[in-house]
Amino acid sequence: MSEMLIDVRNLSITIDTFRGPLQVVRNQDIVLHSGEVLGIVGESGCGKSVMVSSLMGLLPKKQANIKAERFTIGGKDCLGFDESHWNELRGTTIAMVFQDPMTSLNPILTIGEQIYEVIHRSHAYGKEYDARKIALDILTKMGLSSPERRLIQYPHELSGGMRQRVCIAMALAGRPNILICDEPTTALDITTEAQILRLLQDLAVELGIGIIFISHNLRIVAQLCDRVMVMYAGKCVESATVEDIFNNPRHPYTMGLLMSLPQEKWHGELKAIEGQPPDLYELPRGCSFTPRCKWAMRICGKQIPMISTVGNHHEYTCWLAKLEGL
Amino acid sequence: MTRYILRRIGSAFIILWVIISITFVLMHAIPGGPFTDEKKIPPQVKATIEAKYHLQDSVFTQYTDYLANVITGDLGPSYKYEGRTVNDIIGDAFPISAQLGLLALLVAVVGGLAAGAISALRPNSIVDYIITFVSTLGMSVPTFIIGAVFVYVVGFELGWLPVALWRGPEYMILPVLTLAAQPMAFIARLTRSALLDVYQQEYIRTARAKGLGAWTIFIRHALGNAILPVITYLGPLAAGLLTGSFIVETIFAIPGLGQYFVTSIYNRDYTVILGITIFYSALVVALNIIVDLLYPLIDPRVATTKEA
Repeated sequence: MSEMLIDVRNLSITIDTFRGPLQVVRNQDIVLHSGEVLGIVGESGCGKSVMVSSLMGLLPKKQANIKAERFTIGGKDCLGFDESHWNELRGTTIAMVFQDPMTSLNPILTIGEQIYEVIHRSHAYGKEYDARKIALDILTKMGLSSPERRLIQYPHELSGGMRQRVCIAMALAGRPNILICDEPTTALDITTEAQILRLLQDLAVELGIGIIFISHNLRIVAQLCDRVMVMYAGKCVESATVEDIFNNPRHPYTMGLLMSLPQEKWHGELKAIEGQPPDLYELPRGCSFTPRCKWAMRICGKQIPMISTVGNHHEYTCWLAKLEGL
Repeated sequence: MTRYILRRIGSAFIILWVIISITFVLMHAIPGGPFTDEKKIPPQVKATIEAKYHLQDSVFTQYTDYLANVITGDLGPSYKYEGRTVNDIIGDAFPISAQLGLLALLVAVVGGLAAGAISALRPNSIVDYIITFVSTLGMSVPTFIIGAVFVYVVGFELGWLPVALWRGPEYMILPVLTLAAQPMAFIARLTRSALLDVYQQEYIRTARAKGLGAWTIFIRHALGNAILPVITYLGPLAAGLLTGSFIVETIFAIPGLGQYFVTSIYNRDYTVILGITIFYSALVVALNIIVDLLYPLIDPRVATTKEA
């Protein structure tokens, strides 16, 4: 059995806003094993970014209220961690690649300087190491041409795709076990996107690290991930292997997402899910998806459905499961 | 790079020539001259004096003669201070103004950056409110009032520090603080808003995600970016402090260049007016070139030329 890198149970995140407390993530479990690529899919505002930010301790301490039964990252219980504890963990155990490589690199430091500071923090290289050589190795592995030149260049001298490779290199320079990618290809063009995805895929196999990949793009998830969590309004509605999600979707929301993908055979309109995601301040009673659900029943608007399990850890929360006697 | 600098210096000379010409024409367009006086000077004496300073030549000849002298670095004799050249006056008085200006610049930059940083690191705290209040006050109260308050409270009522002349460190404190007050307040506000803006940037989040400590993030990632608008302001500020200290020099009776400048205008001392104007202009132009050359060193996105 592979090592369990992230073990978070019953996670709830409430953010204080000027309109009052807002529950962004509700009673959510997240588990990640080494060598696994976990995809998290959902519409904008469904809480996926907030959830992974909490795994990095990046939420503002004052506004964000995090509760969980268990919150273990890399074998360490992180509930009640203060900033210095998190700093120990960040970059060395868990690292992150952000959405927009144009803005996530510091414009006035060279690529080299920004990579070295991660290497210097890592304990993985022992006492004597050559930071420049390590950085060159990583940049080469990321498929960047003439890495020596990149080290002394500034971010604005690189293209978007190159910068995202640099960001991934930077994240991996600290030899983390866990890599979180928050829509890392959204800001890139489609050719570059394919290259970056292939790179991540190779890395997952080669380094055996656990990767959490956030996306709103099901196609990318299908290509890259082993297991998928579909999130809706701050909660995972369905979680299964990528094969099960695509071949045997159970939750109406997952089905809707799959139906809304452009299909090769069809030439008609895209079948988007009707309606809007709910206002998190005024969540509907019962299942949050009820107002948009084609199969909504009376009970759906009254009570939150339990988790049902079928097959190989295929979990979903829908009252339709009861009809099937599950 | 060399070509860029040469081009900048070339255009600087053109700017100076235009300034000289305009000042020269304006000065001569105003009725009266250095030797017009309420007391009647005997015509004979006046003619002798005017002949001595070539004031009887046509204005155009005076202009070309003057330009020729300026090119050799000679700003001519003073009409009012007998036996002293404009070069002497600048040589004597400017070091005092420069001392005052540079000290004020140092105080303004160091104090402003520190106050702005403290403010931005604890936004909406008591300290932040106090600094914001004081800096708003500092920006809106005119220099001569600040100076007057210092003179009255610290100099007169408390008697801690001398309020006039320029004879040693204790004489410098009040004038320097007076001159530095406004730019310091401005830099504090500039730094605060720039830092708050930088802390919203995604590269700061990246730096946190790397596990860097708060201090490293501040020094390495935030400060360098936040300081850019301050650097832009530094050129005009340095020029302003070096050349614009005449109010402070008047309040504290400091024998600096600003005082000579003001007196020379009352006296119609043509050569002193022109000389100090040229000197000040050259200073402003040079400081701006220096800041423009300095900027790319701090912000790599600003390249001065393609080949650089």
